[in-house]
Amino acid sequence: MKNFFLTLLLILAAGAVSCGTFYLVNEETQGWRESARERNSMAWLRSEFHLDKAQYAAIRDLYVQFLQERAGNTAAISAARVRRDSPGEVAGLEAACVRAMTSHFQKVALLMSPEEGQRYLDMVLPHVTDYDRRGQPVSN
Amino acid sequence: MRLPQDYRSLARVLKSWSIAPASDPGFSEKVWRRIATGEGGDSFGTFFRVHRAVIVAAFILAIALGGWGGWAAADARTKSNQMDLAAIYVHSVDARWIRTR
Repeated sequence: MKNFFLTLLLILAAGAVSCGTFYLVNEETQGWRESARERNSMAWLRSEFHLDKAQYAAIRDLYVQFLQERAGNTAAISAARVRRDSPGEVAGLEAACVRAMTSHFQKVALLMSPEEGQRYLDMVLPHVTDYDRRGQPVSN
Repeated sequence: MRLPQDYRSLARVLKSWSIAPASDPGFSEKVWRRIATGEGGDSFGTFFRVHRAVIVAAFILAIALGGWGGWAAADARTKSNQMDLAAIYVHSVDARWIRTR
């Protein structure tokens, strides 16, 4: 009986070592953890979609340009919420924001390889549409 | 065959040596009992030799299942991280997420 349990223990240990090894070899989170900690979206884009220097520079320029354009949308939505405009007016501003974002993401995707561009769109577009499910931002 | 002197005396001693062991009526029963309890095969080496095929198969299965489990856990973690970072990226450009105070 002692030998049976010893063997069982060794088998379980082998399984645990195998599990840990495969987990560590296949886990690719270190770079992402750093990106997430720094909330560095561009660093994540670069590593996730294997961007070369030219692609990265073009996408970064688009991103900066879009952030400047977004400032206008942000101000308009913020002002409408503060003024407590009608829900229809706020929804209209938000719809314009969604259109601008979608257009921006499509432009970014075109700068990537076709496969990576499609993967990029598949990954980011659901987060544009899941806004309602996550609830409205706080508005005072 | 002619043996040397020393061996001849040894042969005489051996010829005169008789053994009359006391018979053990429970010998057979004791042997079967030892076989039944596994006594004598107590070493891990003996156990391994007897069950070698099963043990090797169990090791291979444990390593395969453990590996698959580890890979699946890493894959799930990776996908979860991807989704989180994609959300952070989208929210960084989404004007609707700006909190108005």
